[in-house]
Amino acid sequence: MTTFSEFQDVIDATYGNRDRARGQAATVAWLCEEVGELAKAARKGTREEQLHELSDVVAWVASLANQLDLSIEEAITRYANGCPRCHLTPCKCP
Amino acid sequence: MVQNLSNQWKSVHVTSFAELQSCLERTYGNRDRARGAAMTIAWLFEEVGDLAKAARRGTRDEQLNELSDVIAWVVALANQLGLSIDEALSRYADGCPRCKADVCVCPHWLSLIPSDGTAEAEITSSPTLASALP
Repeated sequence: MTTFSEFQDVIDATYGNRDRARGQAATVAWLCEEVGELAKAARKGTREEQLHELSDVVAWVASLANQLDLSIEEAITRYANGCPRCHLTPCKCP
Repeated sequence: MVQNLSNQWKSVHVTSFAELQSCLERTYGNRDRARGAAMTIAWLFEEVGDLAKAARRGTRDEQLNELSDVIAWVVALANQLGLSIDEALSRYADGCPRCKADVCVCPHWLSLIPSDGTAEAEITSSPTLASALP
């Protein structure tokens, strides 16, 4: 089971210096491009293509979190106890 | 089954993508499926835009907030497509999926090009473009 912190560490070890050198704007641009590729794969890709694009999107989100010095684990506590808006499981927001 | 979990706030700690997939499936699975994948993708793009703005000029709390929304929508899409994020992330478990090195050593500007291989082939077969490689 991949933990958020393990994955952030792996991405930092593999790409951290490079991504920081290119800067945050480049990371945001890459993330948008990869979300576009995931959207296309979701619509008409094979399962393998979908897994590939999903991994790229998560990797770029992790890279951006690393550059901003944010913990995904800390961020996601908002969602750990049901919907952050209505606080219900399942969500009953209008 | 409807459960009001607000009184257990902070009692549940999610640390892995697999746990988060189950958690968000319970909270939003039926609703998200009813709206369809296209709506999830639209939401995901909107949240990426919010994260881009927070990254540029938001507070740390705003950045955490938007980061969680982006992750939540990516996970919602994975759930709708029946994909395991753990399985997807195995691509990155042993270093860069393109150059295979633990610390990526892909040619610097080749690494700015999508990894389907076609662009690299075009560049390395072009004397003009290849000469510009670092």
